[in-house]
Amino acid sequence: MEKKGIKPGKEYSTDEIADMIGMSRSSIEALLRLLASKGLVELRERVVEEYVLTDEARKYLEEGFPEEKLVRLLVRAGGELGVEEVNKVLGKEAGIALANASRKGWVKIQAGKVVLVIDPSRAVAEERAALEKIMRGERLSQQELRMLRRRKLVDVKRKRITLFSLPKSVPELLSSVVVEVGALTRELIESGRWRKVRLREYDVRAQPPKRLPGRLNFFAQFIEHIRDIMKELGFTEIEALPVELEFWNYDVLFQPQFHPARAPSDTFYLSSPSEAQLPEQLAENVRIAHEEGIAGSTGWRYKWDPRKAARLILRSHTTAVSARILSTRPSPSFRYFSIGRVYRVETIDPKHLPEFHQVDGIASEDGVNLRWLIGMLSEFLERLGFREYKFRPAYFPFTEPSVEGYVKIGETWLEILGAGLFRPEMLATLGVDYPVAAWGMGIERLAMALYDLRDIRQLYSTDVEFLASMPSRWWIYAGTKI
Amino acid sequence: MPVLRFKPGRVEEVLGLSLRKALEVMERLKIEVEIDQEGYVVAELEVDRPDMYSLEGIARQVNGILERELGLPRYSVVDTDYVIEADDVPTRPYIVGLVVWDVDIDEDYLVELIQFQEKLTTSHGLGRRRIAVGIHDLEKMPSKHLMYRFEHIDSVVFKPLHTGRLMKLRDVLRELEQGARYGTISLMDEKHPVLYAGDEVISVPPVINADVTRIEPGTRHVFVDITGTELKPVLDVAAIFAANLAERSKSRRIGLVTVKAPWGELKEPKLEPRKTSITTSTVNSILGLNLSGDELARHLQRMRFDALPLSNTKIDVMVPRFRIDILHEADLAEEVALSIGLENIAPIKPRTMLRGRLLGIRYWEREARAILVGYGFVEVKTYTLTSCEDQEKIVGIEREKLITISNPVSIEANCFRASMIPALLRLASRNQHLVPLKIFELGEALEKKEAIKVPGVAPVKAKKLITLLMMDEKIGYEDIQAIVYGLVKLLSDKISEVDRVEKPFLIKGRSALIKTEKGLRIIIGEVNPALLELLEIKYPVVIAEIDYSSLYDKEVSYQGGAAVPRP
Repeated sequence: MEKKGIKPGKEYSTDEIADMIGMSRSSIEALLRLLASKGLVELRERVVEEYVLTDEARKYLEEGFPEEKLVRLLVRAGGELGVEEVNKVLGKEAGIALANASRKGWVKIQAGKVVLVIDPSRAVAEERAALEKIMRGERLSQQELRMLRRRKLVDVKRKRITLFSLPKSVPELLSSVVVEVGALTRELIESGRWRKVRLREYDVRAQPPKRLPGRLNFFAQFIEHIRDIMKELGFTEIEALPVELEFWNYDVLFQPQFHPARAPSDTFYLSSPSEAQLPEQLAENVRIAHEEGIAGSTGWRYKWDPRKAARLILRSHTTAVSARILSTRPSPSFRYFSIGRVYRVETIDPKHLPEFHQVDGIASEDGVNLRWLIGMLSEFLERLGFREYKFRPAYFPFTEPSVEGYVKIGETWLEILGAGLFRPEMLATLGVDYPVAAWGMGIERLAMALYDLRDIRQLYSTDVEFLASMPSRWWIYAGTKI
Repeated sequence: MPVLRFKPGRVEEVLGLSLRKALEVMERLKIEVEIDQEGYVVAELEVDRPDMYSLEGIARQVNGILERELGLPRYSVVDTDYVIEADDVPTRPYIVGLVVWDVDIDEDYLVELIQFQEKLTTSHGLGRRRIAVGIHDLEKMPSKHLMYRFEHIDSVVFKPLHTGRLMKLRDVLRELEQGARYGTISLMDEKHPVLYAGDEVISVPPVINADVTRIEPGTRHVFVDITGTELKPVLDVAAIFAANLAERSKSRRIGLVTVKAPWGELKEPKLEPRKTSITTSTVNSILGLNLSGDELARHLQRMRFDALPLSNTKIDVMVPRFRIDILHEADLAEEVALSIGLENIAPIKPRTMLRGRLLGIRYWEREARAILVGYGFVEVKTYTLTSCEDQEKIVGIEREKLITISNPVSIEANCFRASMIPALLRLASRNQHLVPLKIFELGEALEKKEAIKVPGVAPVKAKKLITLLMMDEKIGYEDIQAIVYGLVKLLSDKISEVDRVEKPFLIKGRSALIKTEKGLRIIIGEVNPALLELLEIKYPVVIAEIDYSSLYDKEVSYQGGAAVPRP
C-alpha cells in the first residue's frame, strides 16, 4: 500500500483505495473491515455532500451555454443583431442568453440591437470550468458552488462514505501482525512458516460438510445375519438354482397338479428353456403317490401328468432346495438350511415384489415331532431377538401338522414363518423313512419391520445416498430383546 | 387363500356365540379373522377346508370344539325320482345332482350361498374349469327328468338368469359378462354343455343358469347340479354342498339323484363316511405327546370324527365324506393338535449338538465385499428379474442364452439377469448427482446351458458375479484396473492372464479380460460413450464384472442338484 503512496495518518476513501489497488470497492470494504476488526487500520464513516450535474448542466456542457451561443451568433452576424432576430434564432434560451451575457459584460443592448463588446475568444462561461471540476471529482469553492446553484446547474446529494487511514507505517504494521490461515499445509510445515501463522478457529458447533462412506448393503447384511443364526443353530448351508422343475417345487412335495398355485396367475413359467428331464424312478414314485396314494395315504386320485412336472419355473419357495437334499436321503441327525430368492406372480407395490428372499430349514433327529419343531422355532425366534411370539395352526400342502409363527414388533403381530412336519407321502416318495421337520420364512417382511421401512422396494433401493447414509441398526444383530 | 365375508349378526346367530367368542374359536380352527370397516367379519380360510367355506360349515366344527355335538354329523339321506341322463359331453363329462329340502333361503343366506358357491368353484374348481355348481329352486324345476347334452350353440335358446329375455346360447357366450369369463372353458367346435329339465334349459355349465329355476329369498328347497372334468372333485364338492346346505335345513334332509352317463351310473350324494384307523403311538410320536387311546378318540370326536378305541394302540376312525383333506394318519394327528390347541402344547428345546456350516465360498464373498467397501464402494442390491432388451442391447448377450419368462409381470422383468451390468448402469444414471460414484453388487445371474441334460436338473448355468462400477468427472481403465488388481491380490489370488477384449459396450483398446489362478474371469473396461449417451449418463464410467463361478464350484460339492459345503 505504501508503495502506491498511502501515507500513515492520512484518510482515504474506499473509492480511492479501490482505484489504487485495482480491486472493486466492495471487496476493498470487506477487507478493510476485517483488518479494522483486528485493529490494524482505522475506519471512519462520514456523511459527505456530493454534487451531481442537472440535466440542464449536461446539455450546456454539450451544446454550449446560451450566452456562448449568443456570442457565436453575433460573430456570425458581424458584431450586432436586432433583439427580435436574436429571440427568433435562440428561441426559449434567448432570455437566459441576453441576461447572462449582459451581466458578464459581453454584450450591450443599444437601440433595439444587441452589440458584441468582448473579444469572442474570451467569451467562455466560467460555470463550464466549475462543472468540469465536479465531473473530475474535484472540490469546488463556496463561490463556485453558489454560482452553479443559482443557475440550478447542480443538485446536492448526501452520501455515507468510509474513510480509511493507517495508524502506523506499513512495515510497522506487518511486524505486529500474525497471519491467520485456514488450513495447515505441507508447505507451511516444511518451510517452518507454521510458526508465524495462526490457524483460523472454527465454529466448532457448525454442521460439517456431508461425506458418503463406502457401505455394505444393509439388507444384504441382514441376510448374512440370518445365515449366521442358522449356522449357530447347527444348520448346514445348501443352495440350488432358482430355476426349478415344477417337479421339485411342487410334485415331489405332494402338491397336486390342480393346486391353484400351479398356474400362471401365481407361478412364473419359463418360455426358454421351458422344460427339463425328469428323474425316471423318482417320477414314478411321485405318480404313484399322487394317483394312488403311498404310505397309507389315499393319494389325490387324479391323472398325474409328467409333462407338467417337467416344466421349468422360477421356484416359488426354497422348500424346493430342501426337497433336493432330502432326495439324497441324508442320514439323521442332520440340519440343512438354504437362503435364496423365490418368485411369485405379484404386481410391484409397497408390500409386494415378484421376487423376495426366503430361508428354509429342515431337520431330522431322534425325537423330531411337533413339540420339538415348536421348540426349534422358538429358539430361532429368540436368537433373532424376539421374546414375544406365538404359533397358530396352518395349512401347507407338504406338511402335516402345519403351524405359522407370529412375532410381536411394536404393537403388531407379524406372521413371519410357516412350518410343519413333512407329509408322510412326500417322505415315502423320496424313500425317506424318518420324520423331517421343515420351516420357511420370508426375509423381506421381517427386514422391513426391523428397519421401520414402509415400502418393500426400499430394500432394493437404487438411491445410493440412501444406502450409504442408512444408519446401522447394529442391535438387531445382538439378538437382544426386540 | 379364500377370503369370506359375513354379517356379524349372522356369525353370532349361526355359531350361537357372542362375536368376540366366535372370532376366538374361529382362530383356533386355522381361520384368520378380522373386522372390516363396515363391521363385517372377514375370514381367511386355508384351502384344505372347503367344508368351512360357509358359516354352517364353520358352526359344525365349532359345535365339536365346544362339545355341543360330538362325532359324525348325521343327515337324513333319502331317495328321489330325480334322474340325470347324460350324453357324452367331451369337454365336461361329469355331472351329479342333489336335492336339499327346507333350506329356507332369505336375503342374508342368499348372499352367503352365492359366496359359498363362488369360493368353492374359484379355488377348488380352478375358476370353474375343474368344477362348476348350479343352484336351482326345486319347486321351479320343470321336470324331474334331466338331460345333460353337448349342443350346438345356435340350437339352444333360453332366458339366462337375470336377463329377462330369450337368448341364443351363442349370444349368451358372447354378450353376457359370465359368457365372456367362462364361455370358452367347455366350448368345442361350437358345441357346449347344456342341462335340461324336461324340455327346458335350466343351466349351461359352467357359464350360467336359466332364469326359470332362479333361487331367491323365499326359496324353500334346492336342487344343485355339479359338473366338471374329473369325477372325484365333482363328487367331493357335491358332498360338501349337500352337507353344508343340510346343516341349515331344519329337516337335514338330502335327496339322492340318479345319474346315467356313458362313464357309468351312480346315485349320490350318499355322504358315506370313510373308515380308517390310527395307531396311538404314531399320532403321539408326530405330536410329541403321550395321550391314551380314549383321549385321542375324544379329541377326534370333538373334531367331528367318529372314533372308537379298539385297544390302547389302535383307534377306528370314521371320516365324514366332506372332509376331503384327510388323506393320512398325519392329517388326523393334526386334528388332535387343533382340538388340544397349539398354545397347550409345550415346546421341547432341541438338545442335539450339530456343527453348523456355511458354504465355504461365503467367506470369500464376505471378504470381497469388505475389501470393496474399503475402496469406498457402496453395495447395492438389485432385482434378478430384468428386461431382456437391456440384457441384449446393453451387454450384448444373445437372446438364445437368456432365461426368459412366459408370463412376466412387466417387460421390465421378462428375463432372469445374465449380467448385472445393465442394472448398475441404470443405477449410475440415476445417481449422477453423487459423482464420484463407486458401487458394486454381488449376486447370481443365469444363462441357458444346452450341452448336457441331467435328469432332474434345469439346463441352466448359474453365474456368480461381483459387478463394480465407477463414475467420475474423469475416470479410466487404470482406475478400475487398480481396484480389480488390488482385490484379486487381497483375496490371496494372482492375475494369470490379461488379454484385450472386444465388447460392444466397452471402448475398444480400453477393455480387457483378466483371468486369475483361482479361476476368476474378469471383464474390465471403459463404457462406450454411445451407450452412456443412450442411458443419459454425462460422466465417464468404468466397470468390472468378476465371474467367480469356477471358484464357487471348487468350494462346494453337489448333492441332488444342490450345492453343499465341501466335506
